[in-house]
Amino acid sequence: MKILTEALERGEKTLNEFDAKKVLESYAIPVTREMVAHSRDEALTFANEIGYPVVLKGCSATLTHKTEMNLVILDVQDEEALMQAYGDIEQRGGLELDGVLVQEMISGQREFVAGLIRDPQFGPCVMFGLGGIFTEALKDVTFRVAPLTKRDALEMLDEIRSTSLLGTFRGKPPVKRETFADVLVNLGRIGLECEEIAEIDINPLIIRDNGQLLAEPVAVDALIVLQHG
Amino acid sequence: MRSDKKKEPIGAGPGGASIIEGEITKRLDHMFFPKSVALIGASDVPGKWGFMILTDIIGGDYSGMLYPVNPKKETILGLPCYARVQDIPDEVDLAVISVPAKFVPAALKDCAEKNIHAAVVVTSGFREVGAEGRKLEDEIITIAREGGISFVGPNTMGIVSKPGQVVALGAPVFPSEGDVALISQSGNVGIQFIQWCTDKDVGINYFAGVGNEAVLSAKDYLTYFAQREDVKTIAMYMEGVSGGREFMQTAKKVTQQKPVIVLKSGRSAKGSQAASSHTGAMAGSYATCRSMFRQCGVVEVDSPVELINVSAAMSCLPIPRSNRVGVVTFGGGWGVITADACERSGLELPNLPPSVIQEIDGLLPEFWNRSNPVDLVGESGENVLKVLEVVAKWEEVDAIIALGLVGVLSLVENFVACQKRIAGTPVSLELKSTLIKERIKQENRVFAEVVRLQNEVKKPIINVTLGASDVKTLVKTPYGKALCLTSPEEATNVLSYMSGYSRYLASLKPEKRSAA
Repeated sequence: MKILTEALERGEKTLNEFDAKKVLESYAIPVTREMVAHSRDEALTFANEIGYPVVLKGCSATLTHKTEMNLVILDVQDEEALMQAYGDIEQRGGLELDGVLVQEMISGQREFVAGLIRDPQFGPCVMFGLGGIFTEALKDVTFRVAPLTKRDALEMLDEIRSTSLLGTFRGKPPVKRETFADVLVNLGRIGLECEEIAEIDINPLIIRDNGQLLAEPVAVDALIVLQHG
Repeated sequence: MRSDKKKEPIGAGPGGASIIEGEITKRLDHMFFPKSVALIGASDVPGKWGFMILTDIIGGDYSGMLYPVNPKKETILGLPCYARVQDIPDEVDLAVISVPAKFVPAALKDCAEKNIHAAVVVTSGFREVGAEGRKLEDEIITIAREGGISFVGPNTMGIVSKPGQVVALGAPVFPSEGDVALISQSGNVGIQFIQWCTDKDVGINYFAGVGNEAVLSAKDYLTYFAQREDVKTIAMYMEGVSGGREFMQTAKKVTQQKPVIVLKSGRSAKGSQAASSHTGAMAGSYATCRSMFRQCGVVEVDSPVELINVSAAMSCLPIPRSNRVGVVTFGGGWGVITADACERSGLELPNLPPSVIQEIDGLLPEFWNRSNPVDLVGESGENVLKVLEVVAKWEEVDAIIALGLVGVLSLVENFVACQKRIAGTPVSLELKSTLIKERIKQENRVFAEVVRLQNEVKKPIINVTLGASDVKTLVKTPYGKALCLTSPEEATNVLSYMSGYSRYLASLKPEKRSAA
C-alpha cells in the first residue's frame, strides 16, 4: 500500500491519524469523515462541508499522545470556536503537525477498542474489548489469532464482560453485530496482508447513536505502528 | 520391514523438516511399540538414572528384547550388556539414552550407525542450562537429522506406552489401563500426574514427556495420539507453545476427532514491553495463547484436579449436547448447593414439566419437592434408580448429576463400630462384613445401572459422593466406566467444560457446509 511504503521511506514509526484511517477504510472499516486542513480557510470550508459540531485534532505522525498534549478539541460548535481551536492546536503542536484534522463529531456513549498485534508465538492477533478510558483499567479484552472466521469474531463480541453494552442499552439500539464482526475479521486480514504494519489500535471505536434501528461502530481514533523490514 | 535408507527425522525442532502425518505414525510406532529397546547408559547402581529406567522397563512388563549398553559391564541385572549399540546382534527399534550430556552426541551417532530411528534422550544439560547447552543441543539435532533419528527430549522423564508395554521413565510409576494419552512439558508434573491418576483409577495409556522439544514437539505427539483408536482423550500440561501457528493448525484438526484438554501454566501476563499501542500492552503471551485454545477447540482447564477430572470424564462419558442439567440429590441442601454451582458454571437447570412430575409422583413420597434438583427425600433402593432413569430420559436435559447415590461405605463402617461399643449388641465381625459386602454390592449395582442408563440415553451421568474419598474417579462396571467425583462443583465444572467443547463442535458445522 502506497501510504505505508511512503511513510516507511520517510522513516516514520507511525502513521498520522488521517493516513491510518485511510488504511482502515481500504479494508471496509467504518471511520469518521475527516479532512486535513493546512490553513484556517481550509478548516472553515471542511467544517461547513462536514457540518457542525466538529472535532479538531492535531494531525501528526510523531505526536501519538494527542489527548495528553491537548491536541484534541471536541464539540466545536461554530466558526468562532473553530478559529479559536485551530489557533490553540497550531500553537501547541508546533512544527511537528502535518496539519489540523477536521472531523465529524460522533455522538455515542458506548466506546470499544479493537486492534492488531503481532504475537511472538502466534503472529498477527486481533484484539477486541471495552474502550475509551476504561481500556487499561478494566482490561476487558479478548484476542483471536488471524485469520478470523466470522464465527471467531462474533464469539469475541460475546466473550468480553461488558458484552451487554452491545445489546439494547439504556434505550439505545443494539449494535449491528455483523458490521462489528467484519471490522475484526478485516483487522485480521490487514495483519496477514500488510507486513509493514506492526500494530493497530482503534480506540475509541464508538457506537454511533443516530436513531437507526441498529447502531454502527465507527473508528474515531486510530494508531498504526509501522515495522521497518 | 524397515528400509535401510536413512530418512529425514520428523519434527519441527529448529529448522526441522516439514511433517507428513503418515510418516509420524511410522516413526512414533517405533517409539511406542518397540520390538526391541537398547538402554544406553544402563547401570546396576541403584539411584542412577540408568538403573531406574532399566528396572522400570522390566517392572513395566516389557515383553520385547531389552539390551543394556554400558562399556564397563559384561551383564547388568542378569541381562547381557553391550559396549556399544552396534554390538547388539539384532535390530533395535528404540534407544533410550541416559549418558551424561557430553556423551549424547556420540551415543546418537552410534544409533545412526545401528540404523535406529527412534530415541528418548533422557539426559538434561542442554538448552535449559544456557549457551553451552544450546550449542550441544544444536549438535545433537544435526546428528539426528543426518542420521534419520526422531527423538524425544532431551531433558525428559521419558515415555510410557501401556499398549506397547513400555515404561521408560526416570521414576517408578506404573499407570493403570485407560484411554487417556498425556503429553507433558514438565517431566515431574507428568510423573506426578500419572501417579495421581493411577491412584484414582484414571488410566493413562500413553505418556510423552516432551522435554526440550529439540526434534519432536508437542504437536507431533498430538498428531500421533489423534490417530490412535485406543486414545479417547489427550491431556496436556504446557508451559509454552513452540511453533505457535503449526501447533494451532494441528490442534484444530485433532479436536475435531477427540477432546484435547490442556493445563497451561505461566499465565501471568508479562505484556509486550516494546509495544507502543494499547493493544500491544494488553496482549500478554497468555492472553493470546488462551484465545488460540478457544479458537481451535482445545479445552483449557484451570488446575491439575480439573485436568484429571475432565480427562477422565471426556475419556468415558458421552459429550452432552447442551448445558442443560438434571440433578437428583440425597438431601435438599446439596441440591441448593449444586444449583448455585450450576449457575457459576454456566449450566441451566430447566423446570420439571408436568409429565416428569407425574412419573416421579409414583416413585417418591407425596411431599417430594417437584422441582429440579429432585430431592430423593431419603428414599432408597430401586425407586432411586427409577427416579434417576426418569430424569435421564427427560428430553429437556442433556446431562445428569446424581448426588449421594454412592459413597456411604464409611458410614456403614462407622455404624458397625458404634454398635460394637454397646454391651450385649448382636453386632459381630460376620455381621459387619455382611453389611459392608451388601453395601458394596449395592453401590456397584448403582454404578452399573448408571452406566447402562448413560449408554442408553447417550447423556453423561456424573456420580457425586458428597465428600467420601474412598471411591475412585473411574469405576469399572460391566457396561463401561462410571465417573465418580466428590463434590458438586467438581461435577458442574466438568459439565461446563464438556458442554463448551460440544458447543465448539456444533459451531463448526455451518462452516464446513459453506466450505463444501
